[in-house]
Amino acid sequence: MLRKISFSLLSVAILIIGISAFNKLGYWDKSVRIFSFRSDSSFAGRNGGGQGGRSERGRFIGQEGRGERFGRSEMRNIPDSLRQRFQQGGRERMNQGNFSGGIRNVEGRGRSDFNGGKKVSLRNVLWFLAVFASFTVATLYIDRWISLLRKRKAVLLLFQNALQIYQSFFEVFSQHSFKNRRE
Amino acid sequence: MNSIKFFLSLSITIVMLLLMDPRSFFGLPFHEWAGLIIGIFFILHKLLNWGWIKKVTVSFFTKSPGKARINYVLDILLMAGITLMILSGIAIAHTINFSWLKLGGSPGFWRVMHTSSSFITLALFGIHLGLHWNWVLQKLNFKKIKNA
Repeated sequence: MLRKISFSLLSVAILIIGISAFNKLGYWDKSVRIFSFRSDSSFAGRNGGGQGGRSERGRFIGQEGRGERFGRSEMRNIPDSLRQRFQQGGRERMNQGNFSGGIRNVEGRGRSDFNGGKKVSLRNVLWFLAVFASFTVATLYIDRWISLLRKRKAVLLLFQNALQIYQSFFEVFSQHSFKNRRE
Repeated sequence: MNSIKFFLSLSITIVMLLLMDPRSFFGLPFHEWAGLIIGIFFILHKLLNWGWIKKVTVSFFTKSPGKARINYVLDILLMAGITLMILSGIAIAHTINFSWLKLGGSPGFWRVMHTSSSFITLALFGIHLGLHWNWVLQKLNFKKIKNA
Protein backbone atom coordinates (compact mmCIF):
# COMPACT_ATOMS: atom_id res chain seq x y z
CA MET A 1 0.00 0.00 0.00
CA LEU A 2 2.81 2.37 0.98
CA ARG A 3 4.55 1.54 -2.27
CA LYS A 4 1.42 2.34 -4.26
CA ILE A 5 0.97 5.68 -2.48
CA SER A 6 4.60 6.65 -3.01
CA PHE A 7 4.38 5.75 -6.71
CA SER A 8 1.18 7.77 -7.04
CA LEU A 9 2.82 10.79 -5.37
CA LEU A 10 5.85 10.44 -7.65
CA SER A 11 3.57 10.28 -10.69
CA VAL A 12 1.68 13.40 -9.60
CA ALA A 13 5.00 15.23 -9.07
CA ILE A 14 6.21 14.17 -12.54
CA LEU A 15 2.94 15.35 -14.07
CA ILE A 16 3.09 18.74 -12.33
CA ILE A 17 6.73 19.34 -13.32
CA GLY A 18 5.92 18.13 -16.83
CA ILE A 19 3.01 20.54 -17.19
CA SER A 20 5.10 23.48 -15.98
CA ALA A 21 7.90 22.46 -18.39
CA PHE A 22 5.29 22.17 -21.15
CA ASN A 23 4.25 25.77 -20.54
CA LYS A 24 7.81 27.01 -20.07
CA LEU A 25 9.02 25.55 -23.35
CA GLY A 26 5.94 26.77 -25.23
CA TYR A 27 5.49 23.17 -26.27
CA TRP A 28 1.98 23.43 -27.71
CA ASP A 29 2.68 26.53 -29.83
CA LYS A 30 5.83 25.03 -31.27
CA SER A 31 4.17 21.70 -31.94
CA VAL A 32 1.18 23.08 -33.84
CA ARG A 33 3.22 25.63 -35.79
CA ILE A 34 3.80 22.94 -38.40
CA PHE A 35 0.09 23.10 -39.27
CA SER A 36 -0.19 26.88 -39.31
CA PHE A 37 2.92 27.71 -41.35
CA ARG A 38 2.04 29.92 -44.30
CA SER A 39 2.42 27.92 -47.48
CA ASP A 40 2.76 30.99 -49.74
CA SER A 41 6.16 31.91 -48.32
CA SER A 42 7.30 28.44 -47.47
CA PHE A 43 8.99 27.05 -50.54
CA ALA A 44 10.10 30.13 -52.35
CA GLY A 45 13.06 31.23 -50.28
CA ARG A 46 15.92 29.22 -51.62
CA ASN A 47 14.62 28.90 -55.12
CA GLY A 48 13.87 32.59 -55.33
CA GLY A 49 10.52 32.07 -57.00
CA GLY A 50 7.64 34.51 -56.46
CA GLN A 51 7.43 37.81 -54.69
CA GLY A 52 7.18 36.28 -51.24
CA GLY A 53 10.14 34.12 -52.04
CA ARG A 54 12.31 37.02 -53.02
CA SER A 55 11.50 38.93 -49.89
CA GLU A 56 12.12 35.85 -47.76
CA ARG A 57 15.41 35.22 -49.48
CA GLY A 58 16.42 38.82 -49.13
CA ARG A 59 15.64 38.72 -45.46
CA PHE A 60 17.80 35.67 -44.88
CA ILE A 61 20.71 36.91 -46.94
CA GLY A 62 20.48 40.21 -45.12
CA GLN A 63 20.80 38.48 -41.79
CA GLU A 64 23.65 36.34 -42.99
CA GLY A 65 25.44 39.42 -44.30
CA ARG A 66 25.22 41.04 -40.92
CA GLY A 67 26.75 38.01 -39.34
CA GLU A 68 23.67 37.06 -37.32
CA ARG A 69 22.68 33.45 -37.01
CA PHE A 70 19.10 33.88 -35.92
CA GLY A 71 16.49 36.29 -37.22
CA ARG A 72 13.16 37.00 -35.56
CA SER A 73 11.34 34.13 -37.24
CA GLU A 74 14.00 31.65 -36.19
CA MET A 75 14.08 33.03 -32.67
CA ARG A 76 10.43 32.11 -32.40
CA ASN A 77 11.24 28.46 -33.04
CA ILE A 78 13.64 27.92 -30.17
CA PRO A 79 12.82 27.40 -26.48
CA ASP A 80 12.19 30.53 -24.39
CA SER A 81 15.18 29.94 -22.16
CA LEU A 82 17.46 29.61 -25.18
CA ARG A 83 15.99 32.75 -26.70
CA GLN A 84 16.73 34.66 -23.52
CA ARG A 85 20.27 33.32 -23.53
CA PHE A 86 20.72 34.43 -27.10
CA GLN A 87 19.28 37.85 -26.47
CA GLN A 88 21.44 38.40 -23.41
CA GLY A 89 24.63 36.93 -24.73
CA GLY A 90 24.09 38.23 -28.22
CA ARG A 91 26.84 38.41 -30.68
CA GLU A 92 29.72 38.39 -28.20
CA ARG A 93 28.94 34.84 -27.20
CA MET A 94 28.64 33.80 -30.82
CA ASN A 95 32.06 35.16 -31.55
CA GLN A 96 33.74 33.47 -28.61
CA GLY A 97 34.77 30.35 -30.41
CA ASN A 98 34.53 28.52 -33.70
CA PHE A 99 34.04 24.84 -33.86
CA SER A 100 36.55 22.87 -35.81
CA GLY A 101 34.11 21.39 -38.30
CA GLY A 102 33.35 24.63 -40.08
CA ILE A 103 30.11 25.73 -41.66
CA ARG A 104 29.20 25.11 -45.25
CA ASN A 105 28.86 27.98 -47.72
CA VAL A 106 30.21 30.54 -45.33
CA GLU A 107 33.30 31.86 -47.03
CA GLY A 108 33.17 35.62 -47.26
CA ARG A 109 29.65 35.85 -45.85
CA GLY A 110 30.66 36.95 -42.43
CA ARG A 111 28.73 34.29 -40.51
CA SER A 112 31.44 31.75 -39.88
CA ASP A 113 31.34 32.30 -36.15
CA PHE A 114 29.30 29.86 -34.18
CA ASN A 115 29.42 28.90 -30.59
CA GLY A 116 30.79 25.40 -30.77
CA GLY A 117 29.05 24.49 -27.53
CA LYS A 118 32.02 22.70 -26.01
CA LYS A 119 30.45 23.09 -22.60
CA VAL A 120 27.67 20.78 -21.48
CA SER A 121 24.61 22.41 -19.95
CA LEU A 122 21.70 20.06 -19.57
CA ARG A 123 19.19 22.44 -18.00
CA ASN A 124 16.97 22.61 -21.09
CA VAL A 125 17.32 18.88 -21.64
CA LEU A 126 15.90 18.35 -18.14
CA TRP A 127 12.80 20.39 -19.06
CA PHE A 128 12.33 18.21 -22.13
CA LEU A 129 12.86 15.13 -19.96
CA ALA A 130 10.09 16.37 -17.66
CA VAL A 131 7.67 16.75 -20.59
CA PHE A 132 8.67 13.34 -21.94
CA ALA A 133 8.22 11.70 -18.53
CA SER A 134 4.84 13.35 -18.02
CA PHE A 135 3.62 12.02 -21.37
CA THR A 136 4.82 8.55 -20.34
CA VAL A 137 3.14 8.70 -16.92
CA ALA A 138 -0.12 10.07 -18.36
CA THR A 139 -0.23 7.30 -20.99
CA LEU A 140 0.61 4.67 -18.39
CA TYR A 141 -2.26 5.68 -16.12
CA ILE A 142 -4.76 6.14 -18.98
CA ASP A 143 -3.83 2.67 -20.27
CA ARG A 144 -4.30 1.18 -16.81
CA TRP A 145 -7.65 2.89 -16.30
CA ILE A 146 -8.89 1.67 -19.67
CA SER A 147 -7.83 -1.92 -18.95
CA LEU A 148 -9.41 -1.68 -15.48
CA LEU A 149 -12.66 -0.39 -16.99
CA ARG A 150 -12.60 -3.22 -19.51
CA LYS A 151 -11.99 -5.72 -16.72
CA ARG A 152 -14.89 -4.27 -14.72
CA LYS A 153 -17.11 -4.39 -17.78
CA ALA A 154 -16.04 -7.99 -18.36
CA VAL A 155 -16.77 -8.89 -14.72
CA LEU A 156 -20.14 -7.14 -14.93
CA LEU A 157 -20.95 -8.97 -18.16
CA LEU A 158 -19.89 -12.26 -16.57
CA PHE A 159 -22.08 -11.54 -13.56
CA GLN A 160 -25.06 -10.68 -15.79
CA ASN A 161 -24.57 -13.86 -17.80
CA ALA A 162 -24.32 -15.92 -14.62
CA LEU A 163 -27.52 -14.30 -13.36
CA GLN A 164 -29.33 -15.07 -16.62
CA ILE A 165 -28.16 -18.68 -16.54
CA TYR A 166 -29.27 -18.96 -12.91
CA GLN A 167 -32.68 -17.45 -13.72
CA SER A 168 -33.26 -19.74 -16.69
CA PHE A 169 -32.10 -22.72 -14.65
CA PHE A 170 -34.43 -21.70 -11.81
CA GLU A 171 -37.36 -21.34 -14.23
CA VAL A 172 -36.74 -24.78 -15.70
CA PHE A 173 -36.34 -26.28 -12.25
CA SER A 174 -39.55 -24.63 -10.90
CA GLN A 175 -41.55 -25.76 -13.96
CA HIS A 176 -40.22 -29.28 -13.51
CA SER A 177 -41.08 -29.35 -9.80
CA PHE A 178 -44.55 -27.89 -10.50
CA LYS A 179 -45.15 -30.66 -13.08
CA ASN A 180 -44.07 -33.31 -10.56
CA ARG A 181 -46.33 -31.88 -7.89
CA ARG A 182 -49.35 -31.90 -10.28
CA GLU A 183 -48.69 -35.48 -11.22
CA MET B 1 18.13 -10.24 -28.40
CA ASN B 2 15.86 -8.62 -25.83
CA SER B 3 18.82 -6.95 -24.11
CA ILE B 4 19.94 -5.50 -27.44
CA LYS B 5 16.42 -4.17 -28.01
CA PHE B 6 16.37 -2.68 -24.52
CA PHE B 7 19.74 -0.92 -24.78
CA LEU B 8 18.92 0.30 -28.28
CA SER B 9 15.63 1.78 -27.05
CA LEU B 10 17.38 3.33 -24.05
CA SER B 11 20.07 4.91 -26.21
CA ILE B 12 17.46 6.25 -28.66
CA THR B 13 15.60 7.87 -25.73
CA ILE B 14 18.74 9.43 -24.23
CA VAL B 15 20.05 10.70 -27.58
CA MET B 16 16.61 12.05 -28.51
CA LEU B 17 16.47 14.05 -25.28
CA LEU B 18 19.99 15.39 -25.80
CA LEU B 19 19.07 16.40 -29.35
CA MET B 20 16.10 18.47 -28.21
CA ASP B 21 18.38 21.39 -27.36
CA PRO B 22 20.99 21.78 -30.12
CA ARG B 23 23.40 23.76 -27.96
CA SER B 24 23.28 21.96 -24.66
CA PHE B 25 25.45 18.97 -25.45
CA PHE B 26 28.65 19.62 -27.44
CA GLY B 27 26.92 21.98 -29.85
CA LEU B 28 25.69 21.72 -33.39
CA PRO B 29 28.17 19.15 -34.76
CA PHE B 30 27.00 16.60 -32.17
CA HIS B 31 23.38 17.56 -32.85
CA GLU B 32 23.68 16.92 -36.57
CA TRP B 33 25.73 13.72 -36.46
CA ALA B 34 23.70 12.22 -33.61
CA GLY B 35 20.52 13.18 -35.47
CA LEU B 36 21.65 11.08 -38.41
CA ILE B 37 22.75 8.22 -36.17
CA ILE B 38 19.40 8.17 -34.34
CA GLY B 39 17.77 7.57 -37.73
CA ILE B 40 19.92 4.47 -38.18
CA PHE B 41 19.09 3.36 -34.61
CA PHE B 42 15.40 3.79 -35.38
CA ILE B 43 15.65 1.62 -38.51
CA LEU B 44 17.55 -0.99 -36.46
CA HIS B 45 14.82 -0.86 -33.80
CA LYS B 46 12.20 -1.53 -36.47
CA LEU B 47 14.24 -4.37 -37.96
CA LEU B 48 14.60 -6.03 -34.55
CA ASN B 49 10.81 -5.89 -34.15
CA TRP B 50 10.11 -6.90 -37.74
CA GLY B 51 8.22 -10.04 -36.65
CA TRP B 52 5.66 -8.00 -34.74
CA ILE B 53 5.30 -5.47 -37.57
CA LYS B 54 4.70 -8.27 -40.09
CA LYS B 55 2.19 -10.00 -37.83
CA VAL B 56 0.13 -6.86 -37.12
CA THR B 57 0.29 -5.66 -40.74
CA VAL B 58 -1.20 -8.94 -41.95
CA SER B 59 -3.92 -9.07 -39.29
CA PHE B 60 -4.54 -5.35 -38.70
CA PHE B 61 -8.16 -5.37 -39.92
CA THR B 62 -9.00 -8.89 -38.74
CA LYS B 63 -7.48 -10.46 -35.64
CA SER B 64 -5.21 -7.87 -34.02
CA PRO B 65 -6.17 -6.73 -30.53
CA GLY B 66 -7.03 -3.07 -29.97
CA LYS B 67 -3.80 -2.23 -28.18
CA ALA B 68 -1.69 -3.69 -30.98
CA ARG B 69 -3.57 -1.51 -33.46
CA ILE B 70 -3.00 1.62 -31.35
CA ASN B 71 0.70 0.75 -31.11
CA TYR B 72 0.86 0.19 -34.86
CA VAL B 73 -0.73 3.55 -35.69
CA LEU B 74 1.54 5.24 -33.13
CA ASP B 75 4.58 3.59 -34.75
CA ILE B 76 3.54 4.88 -38.17
CA LEU B 77 3.20 8.41 -36.75
CA LEU B 78 6.60 8.05 -35.06
CA MET B 79 8.17 6.94 -38.32
CA ALA B 80 6.62 9.90 -40.14
CA GLY B 81 7.83 12.26 -37.41
CA ILE B 82 11.39 10.95 -37.45
CA THR B 83 11.52 11.03 -41.25
CA LEU B 84 10.35 14.66 -41.27
CA MET B 85 12.75 15.52 -38.47
CA ILE B 86 15.75 14.07 -40.30
CA LEU B 87 14.73 15.51 -43.66
CA SER B 88 14.26 19.02 -42.26
CA GLY B 89 17.48 18.62 -40.26
CA ILE B 90 19.32 17.78 -43.47
CA ALA B 91 17.82 20.86 -45.13
CA ILE B 92 19.06 23.24 -42.41
CA ALA B 93 22.34 21.43 -41.61
CA HIS B 94 25.35 23.68 -41.05
CA THR B 95 28.23 21.38 -40.19
CA ILE B 96 27.49 18.58 -42.68
CA ASN B 97 27.22 19.50 -46.32
CA PHE B 98 23.95 18.27 -47.78
CA SER B 99 23.64 20.97 -50.45
CA TRP B 100 24.01 18.30 -53.13
CA LEU B 101 20.58 16.95 -52.12
CA LYS B 102 18.91 20.19 -53.31
CA LEU B 103 15.87 19.90 -51.07
CA GLY B 104 14.62 23.41 -51.81
CA GLY B 105 12.38 25.39 -49.48
CA SER B 106 13.30 28.33 -47.31
CA PRO B 107 15.39 27.86 -44.14
CA GLY B 108 12.51 29.34 -42.15
CA PHE B 109 10.11 26.73 -43.45
CA TRP B 110 12.48 23.84 -42.72
CA ARG B 111 13.29 25.23 -39.29
CA VAL B 112 9.59 25.33 -38.37
CA MET B 113 9.22 21.78 -39.73
CA HIS B 114 12.25 20.62 -37.73
CA THR B 115 11.15 22.19 -34.44
CA SER B 116 7.50 21.14 -34.68
CA SER B 117 8.21 17.60 -35.84
CA SER B 118 10.80 17.09 -33.09
CA PHE B 119 8.41 18.38 -30.41
CA ILE B 120 5.56 16.16 -31.66
CA THR B 121 7.89 13.16 -32.03
CA LEU B 122 9.17 13.54 -28.45
CA ALA B 123 5.57 13.50 -27.19
CA LEU B 124 4.89 10.39 -29.30
CA PHE B 125 8.05 8.81 -27.86
CA GLY B 126 6.64 9.41 -24.37
CA ILE B 127 3.31 7.81 -25.30
CA HIS B 128 5.14 4.87 -26.93
CA LEU B 129 7.16 4.32 -23.75
CA GLY B 130 4.01 4.53 -21.62
CA LEU B 131 2.34 1.82 -23.70
CA HIS B 132 5.43 -0.41 -23.41
CA TRP B 133 6.10 0.30 -19.72
CA ASN B 134 5.37 -3.27 -18.64
CA TRP B 135 7.99 -4.54 -21.08
CA VAL B 136 10.52 -2.06 -19.64
CA LEU B 137 9.75 -3.25 -16.09
CA GLN B 138 10.23 -6.84 -17.21
CA LYS B 139 13.63 -5.99 -18.71
CA LEU B 140 14.67 -4.24 -15.51
CA ASN B 141 13.54 -7.30 -13.52
CA PHE B 142 10.99 -5.24 -11.59
CA LYS B 143 8.11 -7.32 -12.84
CA LYS B 144 7.80 -11.06 -13.25
CA ILE B 145 6.69 -12.40 -16.61
CA LYS B 146 3.20 -13.84 -16.21
CA ASN B 147 3.59 -16.70 -18.68
CA ALA B 148 6.98 -17.85 -17.38
